[in-house]
Amino acid sequence: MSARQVFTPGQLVIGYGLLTALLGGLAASPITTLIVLNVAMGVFYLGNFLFKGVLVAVGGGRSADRDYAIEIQARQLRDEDLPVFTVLVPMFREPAMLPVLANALRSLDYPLGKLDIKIVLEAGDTETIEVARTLGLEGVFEVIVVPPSSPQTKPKACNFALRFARGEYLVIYDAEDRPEPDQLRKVVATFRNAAPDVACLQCRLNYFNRDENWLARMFTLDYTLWFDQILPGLERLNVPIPLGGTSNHFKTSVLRELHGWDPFNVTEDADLGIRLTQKGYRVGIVDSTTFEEASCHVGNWIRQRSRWIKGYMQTFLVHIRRPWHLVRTTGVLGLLGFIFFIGGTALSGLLNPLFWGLYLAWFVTSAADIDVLFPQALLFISLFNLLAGNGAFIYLSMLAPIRRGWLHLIPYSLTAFGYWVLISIAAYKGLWQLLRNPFYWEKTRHGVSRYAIERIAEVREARP
Amino acid sequence: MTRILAAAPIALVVLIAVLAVTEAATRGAAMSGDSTALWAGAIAAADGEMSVGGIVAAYPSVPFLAMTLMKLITPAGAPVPALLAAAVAGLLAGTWFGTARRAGWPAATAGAATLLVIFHPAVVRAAIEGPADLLVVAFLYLLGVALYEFRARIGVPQAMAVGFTLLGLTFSHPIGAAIAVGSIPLLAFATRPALVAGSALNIVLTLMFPVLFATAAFCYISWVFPGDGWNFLAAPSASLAGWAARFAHAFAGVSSGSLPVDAAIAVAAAIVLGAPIAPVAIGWVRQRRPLTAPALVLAGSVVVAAALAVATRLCGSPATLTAAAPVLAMLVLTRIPVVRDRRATALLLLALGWLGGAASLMIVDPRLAAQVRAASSGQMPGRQVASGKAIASQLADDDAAEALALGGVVAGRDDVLVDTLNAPAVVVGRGAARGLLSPWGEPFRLALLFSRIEAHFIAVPDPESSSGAQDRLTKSFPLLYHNGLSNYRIVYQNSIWRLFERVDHVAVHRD
Repeated sequence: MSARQVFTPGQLVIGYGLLTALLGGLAASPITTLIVLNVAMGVFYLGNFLFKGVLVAVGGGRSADRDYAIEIQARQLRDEDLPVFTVLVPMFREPAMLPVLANALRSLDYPLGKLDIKIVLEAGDTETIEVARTLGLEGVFEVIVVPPSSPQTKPKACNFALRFARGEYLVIYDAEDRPEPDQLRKVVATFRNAAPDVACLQCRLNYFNRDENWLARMFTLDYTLWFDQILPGLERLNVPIPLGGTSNHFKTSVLRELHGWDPFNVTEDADLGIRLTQKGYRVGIVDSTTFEEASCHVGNWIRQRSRWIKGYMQTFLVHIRRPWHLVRTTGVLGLLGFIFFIGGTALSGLLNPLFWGLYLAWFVTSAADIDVLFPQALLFISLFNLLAGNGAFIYLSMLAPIRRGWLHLIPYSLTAFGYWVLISIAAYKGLWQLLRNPFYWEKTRHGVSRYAIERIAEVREARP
Repeated sequence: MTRILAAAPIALVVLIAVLAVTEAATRGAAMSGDSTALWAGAIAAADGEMSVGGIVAAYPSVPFLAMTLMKLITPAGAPVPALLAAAVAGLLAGTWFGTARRAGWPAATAGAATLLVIFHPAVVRAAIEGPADLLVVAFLYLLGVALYEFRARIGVPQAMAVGFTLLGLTFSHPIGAAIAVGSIPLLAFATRPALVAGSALNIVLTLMFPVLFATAAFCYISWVFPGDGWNFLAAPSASLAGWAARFAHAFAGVSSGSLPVDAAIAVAAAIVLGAPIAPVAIGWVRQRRPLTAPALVLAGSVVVAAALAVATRLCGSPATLTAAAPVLAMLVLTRIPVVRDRRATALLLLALGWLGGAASLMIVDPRLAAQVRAASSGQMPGRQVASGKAIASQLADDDAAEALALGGVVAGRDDVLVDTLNAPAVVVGRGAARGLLSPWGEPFRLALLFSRIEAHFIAVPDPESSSGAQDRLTKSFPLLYHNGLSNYRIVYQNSIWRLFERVDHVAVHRD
């Protein structure tokens, strides 16, 4: 199954049927229909925050002793016992980042001779290709040029490079990534301790420019909650993990067995995480962080988030084509995770503005027409969702940075509402693109933060 | 599973014993006025006689909702407050026994220690007062455990545990809210220094956020539904007024001049007297802050809460706070390892704490002290104390007992106009709210608005009694108690209440 076909005929028929039922309901009994809609949305919101709360509680209880044991084992691994590790770095029009990336990869605590680093570049990106050729990279760096074809997406480039991979394991890094030096060793140690069905390990992601501005701080809280709390919860409950875009380490053989990534899906890793679970494989979490550059400009951030949300919509539409197969292969918890994290992320972004608008209209005007839609019991459920939902998500964001000791970020979680507004804007943009230009890869610009610019300058000065 | 089975017998014994005591107390109106009002509200909610707004704005929410749910699932006439209190006590006993066993205590001494703590006078008092007081004991213990865990490990579940137990305390009892507020300046001391160095304020914000946000949300919902976000603050102040008057009277000679300070000192003394093992055990490990700080923070929060409760007059009687003594005793027993090695001393101190607990209640609960004095001076024959009815007639406030009796009389009668908000014991005595025309419903409000009574029965208290002074019907129909109404005849009366029954179908107007 691929996102190449955005909607199947069956989905279109069901969608048409639902829309007809909604319009018919509104025509025949508008109040009842709207109440039913409200109840359904209320249940969705309630379930969403309860599920996330459980995941955070479960994820937070992850044993620190196990992580410590892995860290010790990683240090004890002898160089000759380490396997060849393929590192794929797909890049597009990021010539300035290339020297920084090369430095970050050189600082990995892994024997260079066992690294199989592939810089994956599009044939049309002549500028980056030129820089790569003149940079004087060591032999372990191999530049792979992807021939022009459509769609021009990161997963398509990775699939092309996958056929040249020599490593037992394979990892994807983005151009601006700074993985912790012992990450690959920890991954090897974790794979060796894990059950045979563990086919992928996701490392934690976070940001090196987290204090740049409000948006970077909010993005950091968002990522910290996701990677430090929720993903370990998903792992412990054996719920399919929508992989993050980078620092996911695969067994190369399994990746080949699954035919790599879906080139038409713009969140190909989230899709792959579901597919791995469906094929009977598991995804684990490694306590090692890759630091990235947070999009700290609103326009850049919305571009990136709209692609993610569009990709989640694609992933949802792809896997919901066979709902019984999805339940059978991922289990009930897996289905819940799929609904709340894949479908729910997009849906809540789309629905929130409607509810905010309705609430604002009710609050400001006390309009009797709106009161009719909210009988007392429903008004309570809606208000409970509004208050408890917002409170719960603010609270979870507040808790997230405790583990890393980034306590100065805590008060910013009180401003989460502004962040949700941006998410909703991105959700609508993602929806628009899904309908108009589903495979378009909305490129995130890297190397624009103050920290990244300084780093690029440092590397330039250091070069002879 | 094995551990649960091992703790089951002690939990069952405690459940049965507490059920017997609280059942007698409930029937005998020994339950506090606030608990009676809460129980009456829960009966009304379960009977569908309360609006959604009334239900969501009911405070304290945890015991209210628990009692409402239990009322819905238990047979009619079941002593729900007693059942809830007994269930909480049984769970606590089982948990304490299991925790003591895990801490390395042999079964016999763990059992003895658990029984000494669970039947501590302060816990028994809490059980008699009502389930809300016992929930304070439970959440206070959970808060203590959470503070120890948070001191031991910096993690999200540990921070969540502190936040949610504070939330549980806040919505279990007004005095629990005082404890939560009282803990604000002290929480940083229960936190690892490394974390506090990062930002003590932000950590406290995180720990208190569930309480702060839920309180704001609760006020907002109360405002949206019943129309006044501060309704819930009114109820407990009445019980404090009585406490303050009796306390000032009892300790007039040794007062500091400030009632909040006096209350704080009294509660601190009650904790030391009721749990001598706590200061002794803390003294044994005084250099080890991870073992001492959480217990001290808990005790400090309780003492601050006593002052806050009296200063604000919003949180009810500080006597509830004496329950901190057995909680602290159990915490140090299970959390300070050296106590395990000095079991004989520990058990002796627990026994002393039992006696000290009884004495401390005399200090902090002047109502109880007055009742005990009355009993010892012969005004309350010992043989009567043994029975529930005797407790009803002697220990409880007369008003509540008489309202309870009226409730028994109107059981089975419908269309009874009565101000149940003023006299919730009527609902409790009747066992059902359906059939009562109470201020929760439209007919009552219309009767007052149009000065027109059409109910089959009318129950009004003597305007000279304390119940009568606040009764809405008496205020609207001031001559009703003495003169009655035409077409109505008295069918029952006690020292406070008169019950009138309509003799024909003619509507009656106010004089």
